Amino acid sequence: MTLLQGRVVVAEMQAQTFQNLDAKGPAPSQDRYLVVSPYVEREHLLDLESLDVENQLLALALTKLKCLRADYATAPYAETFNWDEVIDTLRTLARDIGHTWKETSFFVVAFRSRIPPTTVYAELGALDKAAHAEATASGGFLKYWFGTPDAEGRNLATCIWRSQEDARKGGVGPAHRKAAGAARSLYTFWKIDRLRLTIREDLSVFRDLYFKMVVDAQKDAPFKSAQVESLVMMKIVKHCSSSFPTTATGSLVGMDNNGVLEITNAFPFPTVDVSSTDGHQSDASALAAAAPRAKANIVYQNEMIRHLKEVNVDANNVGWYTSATMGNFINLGFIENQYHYQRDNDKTVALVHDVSRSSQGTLSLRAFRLSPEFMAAYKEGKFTTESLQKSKLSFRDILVEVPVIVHNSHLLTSFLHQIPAPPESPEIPLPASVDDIQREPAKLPAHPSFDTLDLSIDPFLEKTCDLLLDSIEAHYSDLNNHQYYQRQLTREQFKISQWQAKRKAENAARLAAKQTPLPEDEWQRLFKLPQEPSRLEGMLNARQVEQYSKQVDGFTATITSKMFAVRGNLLPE
Amino acid sequence: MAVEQEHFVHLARPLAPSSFAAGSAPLTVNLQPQAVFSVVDHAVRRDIRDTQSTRVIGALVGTRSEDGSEVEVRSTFAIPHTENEDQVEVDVEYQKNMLALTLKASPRETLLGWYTTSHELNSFSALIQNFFASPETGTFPHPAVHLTISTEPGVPIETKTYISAPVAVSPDRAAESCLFIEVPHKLLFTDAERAALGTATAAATSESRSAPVVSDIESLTQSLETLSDLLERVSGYVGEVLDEERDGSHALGQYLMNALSLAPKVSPTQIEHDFNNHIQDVLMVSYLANTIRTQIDLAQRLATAPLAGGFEGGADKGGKEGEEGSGGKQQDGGAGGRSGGGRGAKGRGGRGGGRGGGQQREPREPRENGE
Repeated sequence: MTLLQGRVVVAEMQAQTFQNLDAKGPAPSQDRYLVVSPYVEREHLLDLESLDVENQLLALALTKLKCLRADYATAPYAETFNWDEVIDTLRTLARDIGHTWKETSFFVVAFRSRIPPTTVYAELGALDKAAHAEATASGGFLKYWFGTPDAEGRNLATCIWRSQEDARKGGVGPAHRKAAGAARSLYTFWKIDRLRLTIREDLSVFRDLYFKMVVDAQKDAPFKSAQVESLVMMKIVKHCSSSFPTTATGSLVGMDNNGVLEITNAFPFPTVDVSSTDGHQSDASALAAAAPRAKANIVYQNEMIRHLKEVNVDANNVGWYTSATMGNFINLGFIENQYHYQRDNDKTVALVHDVSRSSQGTLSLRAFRLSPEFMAAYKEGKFTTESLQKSKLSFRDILVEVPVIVHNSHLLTSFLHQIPAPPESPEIPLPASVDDIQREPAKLPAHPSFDTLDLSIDPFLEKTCDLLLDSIEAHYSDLNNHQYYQRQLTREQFKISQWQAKRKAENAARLAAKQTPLPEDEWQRLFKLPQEPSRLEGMLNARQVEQYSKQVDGFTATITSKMFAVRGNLLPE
Repeated sequence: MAVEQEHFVHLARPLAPSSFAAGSAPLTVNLQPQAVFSVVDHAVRRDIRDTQSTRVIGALVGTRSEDGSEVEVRSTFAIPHTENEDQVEVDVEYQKNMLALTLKASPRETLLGWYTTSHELNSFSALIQNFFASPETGTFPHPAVHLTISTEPGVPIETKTYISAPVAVSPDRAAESCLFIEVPHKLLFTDAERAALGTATAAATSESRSAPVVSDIESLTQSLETLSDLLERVSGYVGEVLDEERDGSHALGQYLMNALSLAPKVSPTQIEHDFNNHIQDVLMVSYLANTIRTQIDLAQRLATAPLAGGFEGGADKGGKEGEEGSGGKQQDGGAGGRSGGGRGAKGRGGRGGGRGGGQQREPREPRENGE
């Protein structure tokens, strides 16, 4: 995608997109190159032979693309262009060559920007042109359109790509980087919308095509799993275990790809160096837990992502990670952090690495996000009994767990096969003495690990009991709060009804004395009903207890089998 | 724990003319897996369009022991650079900013040196090495560590580490020449990282290069299967020796005897007793946890359940008709509160037992009733 546009655009250039519209077939060789942008030089033309039929047809149909609205810089994307006409053309083209349309998705980038009206555009135009040539060379660039800045310097540019992958490839070259660098310093505001354009076929109408436009932010399709690169996993594990027992938090970058959220890199948030006495440990934990939504860290995160982008790391924030002990991460802070991220971008996830559980031999890395219903409720900020009854939101609906998949690059796979190095020959020389064996113990592969066979029971049980008791405590204080509220409420209501009875009697007396009655709803001013405490704490606590008990169930399953194995070994039947 | 360590002879290396004590001491480099992983990741993401070399460079960050004889590479970051026949360009500004950002997050770490993804050492390497070792921008007075990782496809990935000494034929060429001296290194990882490495290895052995994070019980199954395979192999070997199909090894035999003699000698009743005790503990905690879950679930449901008519109006509006409504509601609320109080008290009782060390005995009684 290209981020620049300027006044160098001339209307005649757009008019040159005449080619091929009357053509019957999509790829006669003399019409191999198609003008798809305001630039008409050879390196700016789209090579139709590099595309499959669906993409060829759309590229041809898109030559008809016109802007319908004068306020395109701010108008909704779907209404800005003559999509109906494009689709009509597409239908005609497809029918002419007898092609049966298959459902295809295209990737659309809409770049909205604002430049100070005094800016000189000539240079921007040159940069833009170079970036476009580069993007064309990378392939799959079906259409490029941009407008001219309006009176306030607002503008829209849009690119249509074969796929998101092509868009990414087209945007990593040096020319694009240069243009983007210039953009950053010149624009007062810019925003990139990524949209998916899906053109469906309707099988019920034979040989006639039925297209449906779905131009929406890809929000509607939530990702189904989180794919974590080994690098990210190792970074998280290192950061969390090195700062244990203080909570550690950090940011995740990656991208969403066809329903899989790929997390490709991570970096820790700066820690506040509390003078390291034990008394301050909880402070440090609290600070670290609040780090993802701290202002300074948002700046840090943006800065870091900007730097990572320069070395081709995926530059989208996709969430954050935190460390936990025995699954005790469900609290208000966690919810707030995830809300903070998910509010801006739906495709974000919270990775939780459980340090204590991982030390038992099996990695515990889980991904969570807030459910849409909870997001809506939290936005309202109302968790009263009434609102919960209405929304039927229960503590089970707060978090949605996303399955985590660990992924390696090819290079890393080959590296991992070398640790520990496999023996050079199939026949291993026999050791000469016991010392030899002890000096160089056999190196077992890291998977499957034998640490899971460790038979420690008590630490786990003790810790779980402690945590459960904490939860009961929390539950109890929550109940107390509510009881207090109920008592207050009753007292107030009693006062109100007394007042009302008194006023009624007074009014009756006044009526008898032929005086005007006093207003009866003054109590609303005089008395104030107490605020109902939020039910959120209680819900989170319930969710936390559920988490603990599931964890205990899992533990019971493994430990009992291990214990029976030990008994069977020591007491042969 | 080191999984990769080669035998290494550490020869005295030429001393730098302006040698410092720290600068000439022998040096061992410990690599942490995530550092290597991120170098490999960078190698995959390299941009080859405006540079003629296929290698990438980046900085090594980590900790240095007090006497400077051991360094631990904890993380790395990539640095954009371009190389042509006659010049190399390193984005110094980027390096400076990124180092500041990295150190902000982990203040105890320092710049240690740099890495590249080919084993070739040329005059550009020397130039960059001198940049990283210089007093203003580098690690001076400590030597800068240079890590090379070969990322040729189809060839085993090798890692090498170097430090350097200044050497030059003439003063004006000093900037672009230096003597690289190889130093020993090993891949180190802690127990916490072992589990993660295990998962990564599991992903490496599958066709799709990915593996789900498995639950405890699944990984236990896998471990047990492997374990029984290994036992099978050992007993196969012993069987072969007994059948005289194979020459026995005294050392192995002795080792196996030692291992077997580690099996504890305890009386069956004692084992039975301990076993029952422990299993009851486990089941008890599981039982209690689930009970608590059910109770709290119930409490949540009761708290938000729409109760008998007039409740809603009474609870939140308390309007003029609130007299009767509030009366009814008060009762409901009171009932809920009382039952909740009861639960809390029960939980507290359990807690007193747990903290008092009577945990083992106390929960057992209800358990026996349960059986």
